[in-house]
Amino acid sequence: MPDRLTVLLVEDNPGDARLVRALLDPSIQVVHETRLAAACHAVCTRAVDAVLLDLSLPDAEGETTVTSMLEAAPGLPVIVLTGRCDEALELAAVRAGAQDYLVKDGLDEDLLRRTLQHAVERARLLRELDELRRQQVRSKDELLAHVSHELRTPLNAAYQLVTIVADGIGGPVTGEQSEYLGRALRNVGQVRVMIDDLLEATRMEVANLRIECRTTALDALLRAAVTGREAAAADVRLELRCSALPSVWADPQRVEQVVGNLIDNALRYTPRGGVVSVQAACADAEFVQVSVDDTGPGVPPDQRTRVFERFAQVDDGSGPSRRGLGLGLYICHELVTRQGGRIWVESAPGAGSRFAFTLPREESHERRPDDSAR
Amino acid sequence: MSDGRTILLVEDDEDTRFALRVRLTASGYVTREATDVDSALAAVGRERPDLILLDLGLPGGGGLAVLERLGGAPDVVPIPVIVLSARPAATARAAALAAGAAAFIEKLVDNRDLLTAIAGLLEPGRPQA
Repeated sequence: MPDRLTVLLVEDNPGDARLVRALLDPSIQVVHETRLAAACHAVCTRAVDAVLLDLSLPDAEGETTVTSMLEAAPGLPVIVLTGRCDEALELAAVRAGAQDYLVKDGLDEDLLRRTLQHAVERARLLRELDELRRQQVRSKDELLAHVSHELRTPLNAAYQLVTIVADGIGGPVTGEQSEYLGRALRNVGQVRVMIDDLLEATRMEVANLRIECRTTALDALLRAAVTGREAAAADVRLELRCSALPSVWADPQRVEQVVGNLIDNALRYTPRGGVVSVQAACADAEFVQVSVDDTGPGVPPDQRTRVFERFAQVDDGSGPSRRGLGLGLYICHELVTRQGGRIWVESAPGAGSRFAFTLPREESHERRPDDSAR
Repeated sequence: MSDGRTILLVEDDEDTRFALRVRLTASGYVTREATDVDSALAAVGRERPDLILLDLGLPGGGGLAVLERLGGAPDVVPIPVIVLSARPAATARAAALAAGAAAFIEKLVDNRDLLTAIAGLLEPGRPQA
């Protein structure tokens, strides 16, 4: 506890304020405000260790007084000091974040001293705990970044060497050998996707994922995503259908990531001879909708929300035997949501799935900030 | 097509370096190698390569240190640098380009992309495949 506490007393009744001052230890420095607005200003501009807060002020009433106070100074210990002995209000105040609830009648020096001391101490412990938690998150992120880098290096060497053989640099390759090498490369690719997804999901958790939205032309981006996967879709018809599209307000790299992930998924679940179709069109005046349809086994109704959760695995008994980490759609969900859109799946069992998402149109993004400025 | 142009491979992982050397030699390039920041800078002065392939996770300060120190030498004719990284592109690309790299390629991409990028930087006049 600091040598000399500074307490902000928020009390509009002069008599009550005098009473509290008289009960407070003389070593405590008291800052006195009579309105909530002035009190909120005070905690932002000067160092205060705790707040003694009346709940009926000229500009605030009830437990929302606590909420506003804590919004102005998150983590600051707030002790309610009121004339009303009201159990429901007491509970509401504590739920709003108050450390304690003191009734002015029957208040004495000792109770006030102890309550203040404990509240300040608890707040200090909470701050320490919070800092510790932040450190842990940081070191977890660093560890994952390090591990992913270390895993990618040997994987990359293996990939390079296999492609050298597959491209015939070490001598002619028979058709049979070429198939074996192709399978090896597909597996290397799968491990790479898992490493990337694991790292990406960690970034989502610690909220240091970078999304930089700008005016983005969707058609070129979709075409590139489809063209880049034509080789992988040898046994499936992969088609793109989009009319002239307005630009969207999004991070092109992140949109590519989402579309790529949805197409890869669709290709994985679509049997030989099936169709994967990518479509885009205006959903309404504010959003463009992109959807990826497949002719795979479909997603059972009870799993349609769950597929977007972390580590979700769809189990319908007919998908590929190896399903990966179950992070791809979770990442898509986070990326789309954080760009202001939404993502969902429509499906009829046995008749394929449609994974669709929306992104805000550029004009609707431009309109909003203008409106708020006026 | 590559006319025996020299590429300096700056990569600390031996097998990755080996594989890149085989790949580039097969495409007609001459390769020189360095494994850390200091040896990379020494090789640039000694070999005067036409292009540098630079790993970011290098011992002795990392690939960005090589880029920064190359940028700070005004007497050297600028040599195009392609950063090859095992780090995810989303975070590493901007840093590499800001430090002066001509291109950023994430490791494990299709080798055609790498060879196209090299050809594009060495023969800017030639239409890229």
